[in-house]
Amino acid sequence: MSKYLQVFSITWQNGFAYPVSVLFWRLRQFLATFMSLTVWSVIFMGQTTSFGYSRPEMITYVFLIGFLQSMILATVLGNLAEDIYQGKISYQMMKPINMFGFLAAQDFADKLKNFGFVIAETIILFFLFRPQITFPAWPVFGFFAVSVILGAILLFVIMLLFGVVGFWSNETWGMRFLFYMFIDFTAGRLYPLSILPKFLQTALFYTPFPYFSYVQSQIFLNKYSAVEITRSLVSLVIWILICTFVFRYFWKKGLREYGALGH
Amino acid sequence: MVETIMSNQSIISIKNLKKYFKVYKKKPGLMGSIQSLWHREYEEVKAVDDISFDIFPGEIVGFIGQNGAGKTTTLKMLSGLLYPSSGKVQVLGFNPWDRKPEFQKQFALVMGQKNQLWWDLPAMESFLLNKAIYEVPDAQFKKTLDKLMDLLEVRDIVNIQVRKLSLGQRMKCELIAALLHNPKVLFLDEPTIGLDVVMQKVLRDFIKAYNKEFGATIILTSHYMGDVKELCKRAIIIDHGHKIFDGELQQIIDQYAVNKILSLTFEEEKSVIREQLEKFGEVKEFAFPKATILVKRTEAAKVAGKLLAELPVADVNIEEPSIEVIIRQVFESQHTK
Repeated sequence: MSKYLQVFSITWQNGFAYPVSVLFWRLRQFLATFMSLTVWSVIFMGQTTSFGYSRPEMITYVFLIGFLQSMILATVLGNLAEDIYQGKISYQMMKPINMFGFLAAQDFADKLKNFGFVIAETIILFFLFRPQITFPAWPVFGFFAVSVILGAILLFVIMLLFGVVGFWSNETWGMRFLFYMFIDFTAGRLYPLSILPKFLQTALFYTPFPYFSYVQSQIFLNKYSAVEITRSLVSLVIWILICTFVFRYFWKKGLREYGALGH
Repeated sequence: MVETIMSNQSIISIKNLKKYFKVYKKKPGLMGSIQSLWHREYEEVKAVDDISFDIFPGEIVGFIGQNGAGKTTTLKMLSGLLYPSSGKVQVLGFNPWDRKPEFQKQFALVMGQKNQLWWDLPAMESFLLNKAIYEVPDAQFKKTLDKLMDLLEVRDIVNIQVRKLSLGQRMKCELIAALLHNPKVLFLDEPTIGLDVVMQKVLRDFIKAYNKEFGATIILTSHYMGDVKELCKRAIIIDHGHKIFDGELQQIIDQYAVNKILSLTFEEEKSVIREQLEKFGEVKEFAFPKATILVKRTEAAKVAGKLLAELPVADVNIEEPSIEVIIRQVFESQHTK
């Protein structure tokens, strides 16, 4: 266990090697949430509900999405395919440490670092917008926490899936770009999915995208019944299992193709 | 599961090892690029083609070959990074490809052109990470680190960010990171590449000392004949994936490096003509005030003395032929057999 703690520690240290970059990156995230809150505040001027959300609900929603983006969608595995293609994982592969444990420790460290910033940013935004955030009952909050963890795991496995392409090609930038663009429209980042036409909502729930923020936000806002919460958590687990299975298959195949480039 | 192939007491054993890669062959020009969108031609490259050898505990073996000969590919298969196309490999009784932690704790690969150190952090952080990964006990870590830092004289730089270190300082820290768990088998792939002669010497002395102190088995690849000559009694030469020599290094030098190279610089105000040099040996290059002459290795010192006495020599250097020349001679001799 101590080896993974050490990976966690060194990832944090490495993350702070360029403090200005960290600061500007967080500023970008902060401004994105700030703009979103401003837009929705303007939309709610002169009306009490919109798209089935009251003003406090919508403001809480935007707050939540900002938090969930940092917890679920932030990852350090974006360059994994490139690292594999260029042979940069060779040293890790030769060491007595589980590769996925190593990557998970790095990802977890990054998420926890974000968590600290998100709390500070949320306090600032809270004083600017004074939202009426209503916390769900403890059991629901528990399910919410589980859904966030499962969402983060799902993204981790999907990032590994993108990474595994690196055994054959380093052309994953386009794929990842499309994936994140899709997320903007389908994970509830720009708007709640409930404002979309019914058929589109149904279709989206056959993909993993809503599980990267939207589902979690609905659990927190008490918009889901017990059955819907259960269905969401089961779906998350099924998606994780499917992606893990596909990943393991290609990882094993890829290792045999690995060229360990470098020279 | 790899069957037991290790001969008596050998610590590394490979038999009929092959590694073939499929590489994309692009046609030249813009049309070639456009064509490659729907049709790609691939070529099979035989990086390692039917190599066998055994290495015994405590040996330092020089693994020699030109660029692309298959040296690094072989080392990567011995480290469990590459999956062989066919053949058998055993290191310390393990099949490296299984990547068992018990195996990984007993070997290390150092690649001169790749870093394992965290670039933006001091080397000490990477050492601590390796300590945890290899589960090195505190006392052993302290003892080994102290010894390695003293041997390599890096005590004052291990707390400086790696990216601010010179190439030589970085290489020393790379070696420490690789040796903290006291590996029994060490693969060194071009450890002195890009280093100045002084630093090359420091690393050579260190490798020698490490081998003596820990009884480690070492395979070393290098472009520098100096590395191989000073460290290895035994050499394995490979060319285009084939093993073409395996034996005592001195045997190759005696057999193939029959000449030494005398590099001369003459005093500019005096004149020397090519004909004056021909009686000393084979004149390879002459562009006054510089000349290069090939002389029999047994007579090199004597000829150099004569040259100094008879001609206005400002500077003379006696060099071994480059490793490429020796390999070419070994290779040519294999073909003419």
